[in-house]
Amino acid sequence: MKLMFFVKENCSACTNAKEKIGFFLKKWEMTDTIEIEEFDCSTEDGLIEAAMEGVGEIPTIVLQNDGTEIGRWEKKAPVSDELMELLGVET
Amino acid sequence: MSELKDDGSSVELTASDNRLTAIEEMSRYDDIAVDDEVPSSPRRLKLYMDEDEILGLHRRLASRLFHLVRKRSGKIVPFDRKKITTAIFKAAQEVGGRDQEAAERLTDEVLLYMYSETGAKLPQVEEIQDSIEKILVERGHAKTAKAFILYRDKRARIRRADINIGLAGLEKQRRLGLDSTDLSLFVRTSGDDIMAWDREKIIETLVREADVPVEKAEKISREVEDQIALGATAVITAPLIRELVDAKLIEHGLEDARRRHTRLGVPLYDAKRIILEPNKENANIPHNPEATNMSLAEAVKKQYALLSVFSQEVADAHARGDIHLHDLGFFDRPYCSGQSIEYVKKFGLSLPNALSIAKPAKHPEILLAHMVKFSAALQGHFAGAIGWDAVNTFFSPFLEGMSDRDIHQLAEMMIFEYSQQSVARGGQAIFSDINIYWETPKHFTDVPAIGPGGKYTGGTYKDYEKDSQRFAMALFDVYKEGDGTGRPFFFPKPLVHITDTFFKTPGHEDFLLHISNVAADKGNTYFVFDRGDTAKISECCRLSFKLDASDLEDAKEPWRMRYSALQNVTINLPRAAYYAKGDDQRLFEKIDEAFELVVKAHEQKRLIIEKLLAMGDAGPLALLTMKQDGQEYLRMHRVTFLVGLLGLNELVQSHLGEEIHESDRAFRLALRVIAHLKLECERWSEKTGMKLVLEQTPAESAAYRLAKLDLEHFPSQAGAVVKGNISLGEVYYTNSTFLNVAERISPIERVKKEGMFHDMIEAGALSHIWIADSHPEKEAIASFVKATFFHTRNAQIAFSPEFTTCNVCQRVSRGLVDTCPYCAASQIPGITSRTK
Repeated sequence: MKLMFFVKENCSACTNAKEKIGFFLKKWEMTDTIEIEEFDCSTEDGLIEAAMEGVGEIPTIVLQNDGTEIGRWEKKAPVSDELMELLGVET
Repeated sequence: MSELKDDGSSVELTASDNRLTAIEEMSRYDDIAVDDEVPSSPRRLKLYMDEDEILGLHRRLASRLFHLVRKRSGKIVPFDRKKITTAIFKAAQEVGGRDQEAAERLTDEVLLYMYSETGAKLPQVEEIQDSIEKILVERGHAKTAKAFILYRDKRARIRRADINIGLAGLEKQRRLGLDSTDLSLFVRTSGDDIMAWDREKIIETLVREADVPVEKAEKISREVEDQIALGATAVITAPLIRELVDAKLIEHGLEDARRRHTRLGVPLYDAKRIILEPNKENANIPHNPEATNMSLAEAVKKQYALLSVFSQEVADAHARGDIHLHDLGFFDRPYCSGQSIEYVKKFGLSLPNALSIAKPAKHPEILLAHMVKFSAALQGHFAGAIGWDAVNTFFSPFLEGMSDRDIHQLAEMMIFEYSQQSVARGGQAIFSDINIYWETPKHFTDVPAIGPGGKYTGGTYKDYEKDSQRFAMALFDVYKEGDGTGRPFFFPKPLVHITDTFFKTPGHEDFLLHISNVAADKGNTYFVFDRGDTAKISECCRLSFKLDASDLEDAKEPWRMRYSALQNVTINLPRAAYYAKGDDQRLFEKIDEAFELVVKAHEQKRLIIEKLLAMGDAGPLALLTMKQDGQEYLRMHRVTFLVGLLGLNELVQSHLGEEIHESDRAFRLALRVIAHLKLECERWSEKTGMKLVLEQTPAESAAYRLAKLDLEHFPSQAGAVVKGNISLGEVYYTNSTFLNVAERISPIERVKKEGMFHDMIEAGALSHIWIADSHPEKEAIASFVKATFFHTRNAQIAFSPEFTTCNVCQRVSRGLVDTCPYCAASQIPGITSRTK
């Protein structure tokens, strides 16, 4: 599975979302199993990827499983329970 | 004063007659000319300086007293003491005088006398001549004074003759051999009169208008006079003189002066064509005297803009086709305006310089009348569209208790009033847009509603949602019916906002089907997608303004919500690829160069608009400076500056050999170009303080003009990519970021792919779905709209059908046909295809 972060520099909501997800991935010991890609939307490459993924808001977090989108959060971080379920974390 | 003649009649004496009478009297006793010995003054002081020293002191002092002089015309030119000396000396010569030094000394006395009388005040020509007369008389030069007065009188008579005498009389004088230069050549001026030739006018004009030094102006005027003298003409036009002078300025290497001195206008051939033939370049412009007035004025204003508003660098870039400056003929107004009817509801109709003022409307019909009249006034101050936000929402407090029939009637009035008013820009209809919401827009839900008389009703707009929805339905009933012959209405364009809330609001299914039916049948409906928290006010065919936090604060008092784009300048994208010749780095360097020119053009436009606004009530943009709510109507600190895009598809095709839709590589290059431009907008916005945003270029004329220019300048490269028919000269570049319109690409694929650019095009983007002569089911259109909203990032879509109007029976049929299906008329003389 892959988590894609579409963020910008100096975006506090982006930082918060990344830190929150990072915290839970560490807690669930999934940092090695989840691929993470970060796209800076203040660059050409970031904007291109955002356009290809249909991202129009910052921050946006997209969760893909084998290239298929299974979760998307715009202008907010996912609720941990929701993310946990989508990642298949067993409690 | 009059004099009694021998026959008992009397004649009026002029001022010069009176002066001459006194001189004649004096001359009997004192008949001394300038070269005679000057009578010594009994009161001359003994000084410890010899006379030469005193005279030298006089000369130095006198020569420093005046630097400028005001001519009779009011023009201010450099002061030249030689002119006084020459006038005195010539007058002396008339009576046999030969002493040039005496003329110089008298000149000193004239200047010292003038200074003692008026101080350093700017002298006028007449004052100087009065002073010459006085000094000549007081110093005992009666004969010279008389000659001078006679000369002065002759010149005055000639000037009067310039105004009064007809050409026939002047020519007669010429034939009779009164052959001074003044009388042998006449000039037909641009002020509808004929004047005697006066070389001085060339000098005055060159000094005043073109900052040419007097000596150089004198030389050029003589050269032009010599050139004219070589011809045998009796009458010459002022424009021709100006052109001859311009040619001399070029010969003298004074190109800047030539630019300042140049004359604007159109060739006779073009004027005739504009007056006699319909305007083929803009289908919205009718062919009538108002329209031809506008076309002629626009031609002159375009030239003025390129010469005097924009720098030569920017003007040349436009002329070459690197960039395209839109609406050059309207350079002295902003581009477009979006606003709220709340302004009219709250303040009534009170426009600067209006003959009457209306209080806030108390009835819906009056509110509509105010809105339409205000739109017409605004159209006179903006080059582009006049958009109105949430029209049905803001009308709703006026509709309470009205029957469906009356609401339908009001909807009919609104659409016919806008579509039939031929009051704007040369008799065109007002380019108008009305924004419509099914739900109450979330930023207006809790806003107190303004009702009849400009008073708060006590409710909020949410309370009037049902009436707002009835009005929205009624408007689309009228769009569905079409005009008196069933043709679609061109204006006002209805922009329906599709939002997340739309799909949660009861009744939206029926409304969506209704507007989809209109889209399929008449093509009117524009579907504007406001996803998530986005709120927009849209106008023109694609321009939209996203509302930010401060806008949403303004929304609490919606009359404050006024948005404008100041200008649109488009980049000729394919040309960057022609320069780059396949080199990526060079491609983006050339794009950046063009972008910098766009920024300069915007800075120059901002300057001229600020200058006009600074004139306030007395200026041409008085309407935009009115402050009914404490802020100027045009909120300059909120305006945007549009960066138009043209021919992205041809840029990619020329650079990679593939069109945007043909490969992932081509598509990504297209995205990179737009991403690069978006970042350039941000970078330059920060640097200049102007809010620069990308916009899809709406003007089809630019697509044609730039393609045509590129075929001339880059024939092989442009020839490989331009669309249309080169042999017929019907060529164009693909508009903005569109995929090739001629390619068979499925509508959903087109909407999806084109939509991937839209988030980066902040000022508005649109996809057309060309349905030509097909008539999709309304359910299919509605499904398509839903799919576009939920599964793409497309910002706005519209469906474009084609129609033919039979000029025999006036009936309308779908598609482009050669034979009318109703009356069987063939070879229909007028085919109207509807485009957006």
